[in-house]
Amino acid sequence: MDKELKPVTILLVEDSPDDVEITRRALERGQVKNHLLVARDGEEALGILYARRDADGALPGLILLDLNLPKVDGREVLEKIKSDPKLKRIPVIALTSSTREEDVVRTYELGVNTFISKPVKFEDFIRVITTIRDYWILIATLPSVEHD
Amino acid sequence: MIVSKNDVTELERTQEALARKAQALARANAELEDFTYSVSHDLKEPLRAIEAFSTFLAEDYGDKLDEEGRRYIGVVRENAVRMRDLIEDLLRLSRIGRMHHECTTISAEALVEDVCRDLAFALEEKKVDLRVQPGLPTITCDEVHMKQVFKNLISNAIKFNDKPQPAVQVACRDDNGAYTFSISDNGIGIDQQYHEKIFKIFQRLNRREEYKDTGVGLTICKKVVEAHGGAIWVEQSQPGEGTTFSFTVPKEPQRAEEAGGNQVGQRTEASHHLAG
Repeated sequence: MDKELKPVTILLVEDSPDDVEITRRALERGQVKNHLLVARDGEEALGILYARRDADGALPGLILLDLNLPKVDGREVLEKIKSDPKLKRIPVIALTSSTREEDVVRTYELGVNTFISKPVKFEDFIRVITTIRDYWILIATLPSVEHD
Repeated sequence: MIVSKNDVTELERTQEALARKAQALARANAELEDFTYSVSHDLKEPLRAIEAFSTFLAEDYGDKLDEEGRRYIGVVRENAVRMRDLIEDLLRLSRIGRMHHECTTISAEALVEDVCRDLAFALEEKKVDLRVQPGLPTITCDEVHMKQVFKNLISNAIKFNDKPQPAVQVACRDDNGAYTFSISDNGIGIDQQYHEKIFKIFQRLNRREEYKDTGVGLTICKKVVEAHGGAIWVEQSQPGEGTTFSFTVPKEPQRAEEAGGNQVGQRTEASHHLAG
């Protein structure tokens, strides 16, 4: 599949440095060709997105969003992304520890594309990451958001 | 008999005080469940790092360690997974109280079939001779939770079994106002002195290396059964001679207030109270 050849720009919004490292490694192990942007809180995430949007630069092809973030919360980031005409087409995947029903419902109401709870076992996490790749990068046809 | 106005106000006061107490109790219960839930979630995050980084250690530096060093990493990872299982069981337990108690009328036969599909791997691996009494009745219950009861009891019957071919039987009898379900096995059995104790949380009877278990499964069963207004008990069991667990499901779904013990309905109300 030719889609696979092109690395995808992923914005990872995650405040825990350990989780950033785990995700980076899972992407590597899952052989997801990527260019990873990391935002450590919601404010930084919106900063990156707005800067790229305003400069008409390359927007990420996928956003992995943790919900519990310092400063601007993940839900607020999601709300801002989904109400922005240019940003709302980017698939947002909520990756979080929560399996709380209220959280799941609320996040979908805010327009998240998928809600995934992070597995404890690293091997299971690799499977989650490769499934995300298979679906969102290889299978789904999405409007082009990455400007080259 | 003459009832004075004072008696009436006294009665009203007592009733009010009782209602307040009940409310406070329900609120405390909801808070406790909220607490369990949050703690369980926050515990998962460091656990994920422990599991992942010990995996990295094994992957990147495994060849620099001797056999004993690699074994230590294995022990760390195994325990991380064990803790995950414990946390997930705790979450499941706290969720019983948190969720709405939505009763639907379903076929117990379909429910048991569903459970068997979930347990297909274990049933096949251990060559279990499973017999389900034909024509199990329809029951009114919270499907997700009741399924968990059958699942925990049947998987216990398979797990705590040292026979080359475990035999498990699911049966039901009609006891006027309720159906009594029983799950019997030919497994290792339980000593009389533990017949009540085993329903307590984290209570295990076997060494970990013999039977892997979190000690939460039966606590979940008891909580669900009682929330439906039923009861659960060890019908009969002797070490080495198998076990029969029985539990009742009332034919008329009971309102939580009447059920006594675990009152799911009230807790939900209290949760709303907290949220608001």
